[in-house]
Amino acid sequence: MTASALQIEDLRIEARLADDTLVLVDGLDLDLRPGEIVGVVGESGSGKTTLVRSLIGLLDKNVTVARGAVRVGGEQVLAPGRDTTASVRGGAIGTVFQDASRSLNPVLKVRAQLREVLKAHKRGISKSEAEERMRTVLRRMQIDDPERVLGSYPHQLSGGQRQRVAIALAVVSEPQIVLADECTTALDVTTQAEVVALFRELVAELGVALVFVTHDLLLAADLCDRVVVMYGGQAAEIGPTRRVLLEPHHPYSAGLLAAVPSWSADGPIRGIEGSAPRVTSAFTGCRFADRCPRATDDCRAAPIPWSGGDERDGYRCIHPLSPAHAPGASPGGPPVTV
Amino acid sequence: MATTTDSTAAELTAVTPAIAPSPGALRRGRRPRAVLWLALPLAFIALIVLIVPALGILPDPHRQHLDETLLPPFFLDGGSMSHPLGTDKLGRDLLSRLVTGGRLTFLIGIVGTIVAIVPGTLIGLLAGYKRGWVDTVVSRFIEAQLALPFVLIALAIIANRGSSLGVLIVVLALTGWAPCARVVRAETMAVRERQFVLGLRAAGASSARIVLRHVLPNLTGVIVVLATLQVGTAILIESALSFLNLGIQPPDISWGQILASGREVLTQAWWISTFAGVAITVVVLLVNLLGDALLSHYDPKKRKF
Repeated sequence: MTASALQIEDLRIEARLADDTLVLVDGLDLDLRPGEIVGVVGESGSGKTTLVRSLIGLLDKNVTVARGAVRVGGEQVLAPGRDTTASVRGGAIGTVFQDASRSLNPVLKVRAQLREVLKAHKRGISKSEAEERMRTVLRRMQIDDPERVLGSYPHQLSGGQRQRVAIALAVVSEPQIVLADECTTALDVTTQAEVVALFRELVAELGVALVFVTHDLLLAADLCDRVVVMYGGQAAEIGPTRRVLLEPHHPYSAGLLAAVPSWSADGPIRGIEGSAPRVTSAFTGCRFADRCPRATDDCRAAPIPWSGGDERDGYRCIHPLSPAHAPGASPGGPPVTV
Repeated sequence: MATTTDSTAAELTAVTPAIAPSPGALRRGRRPRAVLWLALPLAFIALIVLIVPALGILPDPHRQHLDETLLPPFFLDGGSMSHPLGTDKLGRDLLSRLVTGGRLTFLIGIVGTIVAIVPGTLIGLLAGYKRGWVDTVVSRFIEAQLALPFVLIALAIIANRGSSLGVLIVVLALTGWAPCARVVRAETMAVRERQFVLGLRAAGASSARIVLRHVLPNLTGVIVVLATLQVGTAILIESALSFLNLGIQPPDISWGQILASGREVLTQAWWISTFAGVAITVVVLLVNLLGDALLSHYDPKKRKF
């Protein structure tokens, strides 16, 4: 078994408010190997962004890690009362943000911005080496004329080029892990497809581990080896992409899939009634219970244990959909269309 | 595009050498014609003030001719072209004094701006980026500063330290930083919430780097406008203080001081105060109009993206 690039163990992140404590991420286990692409999907407020922010130490001041640990390349960088993520930020972990046109500084040329990252993480790199590396990374991003792009301001580039530059910024320092936080959301579908292809290539060539956060289930299906379905700060289901998409165990995964528009399926698109819960520290039971068609009193009584295989493939539900993994489960529930 | 940017940048640097705008900050919008038409006459006046006294074509501004006191300008009865704008009560050539005095006035305008804008910008950046208690402390200082009447501060310092160019510059620094810091702080708070700042933090850039290398260039427009307006303010303050005999002391010459010295003989020789006043008015007006033109040039609504 290869060593993990990123290991998240029982992570719990809380936000202290004036009168209450909100649980943003709870009991999250995730193990990411080099060259692996994991998709993190879930609706807004499910804790995806908090998870990403915690890995690079950019949580708000009132948000803290209450339990668990994060290891990057075997080294612990995050634990309660301990945050050394600054040392991996930009170095071992590169981050691509949502909107490329806004994640580049409008008044600096691309060259200056790339050089900035190189200077910070590759100390003592010579000027010509830096130039060479910037050109290489841009070419890897399928930019044909790196020289022109390096000398351009962000507004002089097209949306797709800007996104490539934003990814180049994240990978120029050769990180082991790349976090992509909804970085394709603002792109049109063709550019999206190109970016996805780019990521796939990056992972294949450089062996980086990619965490791809998105709310686009189909995109995740296309790109990722495994997906984590998050809900209310917890992993509702983790598993190989094919398995989760074709055979979801958690009713929430099934609900998400049913809400995906499809031109081939008949009938209306089914959304999930209600909205994500506000999870305070007093919350017990299944976070999805109030919106779940299969919920029983048991669901609300106690914390739901992790079932199924292991932390690489399993779900958090006591009434799972597919009888294969849980023979005692009640039949029925919403049908699943993929 | 490139040529526009270059020439605009050159004009701006000519007016406010303290803050060289980055070419990127000026890329937006059309070529600013108004800016050009205001910067040109200003540059012309600055050039005259700078070069003409050195050429030796004007009489010595300090040379007294007690037999030629209070001569009127050439277009009035008794005036002559040997003293085109007349003489003052000690028979000194008014044109020569105005041109020479303009040097100190311009110097005060520019240096007075630098000493106000540079600390004001840095303090504003610090407060706006750091937030928290730093911001609270700085904001209270700004408010306290803005609440103090300017003349009071000037009087207190000058009464204590005497009047000299250095003291005048200190007064300008002490009174000018606060409005600048306030605006820069607000702008910094807006820029720091933009996504590229988050990206920079995620890329491991230090706060100092983010602020100086990334936030500051985004504020170029604001700072250039602030600086321009401050030039006008500094010149006016100098004139006001000189008028109160708290500013530039003889034998140094400034426009405010000429204006003040003409006051005593206003009924016999109106031209002394008038010409000095016109010079101050024209320059301050040009500078302020230039500031307004730059302001609309940097208006976010006119930005291209």
